Amino acid sequence: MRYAIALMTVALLWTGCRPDIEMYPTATFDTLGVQWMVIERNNMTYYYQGTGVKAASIYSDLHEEAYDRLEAVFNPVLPYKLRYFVWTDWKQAQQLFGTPEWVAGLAFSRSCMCHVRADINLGHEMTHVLAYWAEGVEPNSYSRFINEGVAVAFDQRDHDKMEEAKNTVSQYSLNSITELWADSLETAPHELIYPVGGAFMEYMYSNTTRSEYIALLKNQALPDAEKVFGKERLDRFIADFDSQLGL
Amino acid sequence: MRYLLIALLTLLHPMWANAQKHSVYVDLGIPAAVSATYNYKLTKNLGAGGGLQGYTAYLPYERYSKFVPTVFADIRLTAWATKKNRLISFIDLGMNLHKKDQGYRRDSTTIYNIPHNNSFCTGLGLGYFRRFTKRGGGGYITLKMLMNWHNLKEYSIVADSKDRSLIVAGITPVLSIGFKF
Repeated sequence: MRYAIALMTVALLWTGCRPDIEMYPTATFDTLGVQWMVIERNNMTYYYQGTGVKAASIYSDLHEEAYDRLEAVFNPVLPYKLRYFVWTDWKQAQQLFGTPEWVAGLAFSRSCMCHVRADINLGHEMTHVLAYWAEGVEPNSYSRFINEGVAVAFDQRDHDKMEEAKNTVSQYSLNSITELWADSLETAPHELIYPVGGAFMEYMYSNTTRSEYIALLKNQALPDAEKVFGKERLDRFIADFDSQLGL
Repeated sequence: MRYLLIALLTLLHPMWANAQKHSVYVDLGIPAAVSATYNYKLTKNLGAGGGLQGYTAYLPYERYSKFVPTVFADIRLTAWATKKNRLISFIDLGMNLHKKDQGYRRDSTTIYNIPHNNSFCTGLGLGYFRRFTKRGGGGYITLKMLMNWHNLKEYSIVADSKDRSLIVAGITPVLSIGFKF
């Protein structure tokens, strides 16, 4: 028995060894009433409201990897390096920005800046900025359905987006995704438009060429998208996607 | 395959000849598990030995399981023995051999990581044995609780002082059926 106890002790001590984590904080920065811990990396500059150095270093590692994956998709040419503000007290940010309760992140694409709650999906806000600057060209027109859709499609979550969209539409009375796409007053509930938009933009990524997909990102309004694909072809995409959703 | 059988028979034959002292337990289980345990009889009811096993381990904070080989030391207790039937219980202590997952899990303001390869394995089992042969061989069925002990790191973005290092266990119940040689 004493040998068993010795074996357990050795094993537990061995498993308790410290891992190697590189520490990256490079500076502090005061703005918005917060002293931010700054981590300067290749792709982005990270600003942390918290002071947990190891977690922030790993967090920035994960985001750098995500950025690399998204960069291969969008080939973004940004006018400035992306600044990524990570809030650990998100209520403070919500008061500051006046956002609704359900919003977990904000992307200011034109100025290459994101403000996020710490646990937001890895790629969502980053995708807003990278898609906006895809190929270094700003969009001609905007649609919430396409804009949020692409951010959900590339949010780096590993889950079945079509299945999620199907489950969501079953709870709403929706006849076609064109109702969401043409919703210029942005009245569609976010619980519906995000998952359906995400599944649609994933569908379009699989069924169009890269240049067509980038053109869609630059011409997000429905009439503009019809010019990109041709009305007949786009209608076929929409009809096929609607039927996959069970509409 | 036939060379494996020859090797097994060559290895096991002397043990059968000394079946009172030496025995080998081989079993298959669900979820996917296989084990082979050598046991040396120390007293009438107590044996000790070691073995190899592979089983489907559920790792803490992972969304999937994986097949993990293990080397272990074994202590085996026999109780309520009659001529043909007996209850067996055992404790296994060993090491799961696997590469760490390089990934990190995020939850709110915390990042979780299992920082090392391999892990410590404990197994507790209870079973029923029925003797089929004169030399003591027979079939058995067991329920094992295999615990896969890990060091889990929790890193907080809020502050370093909230970082924690935990010992956690993923538990896999295994129902197995086997033969004692």
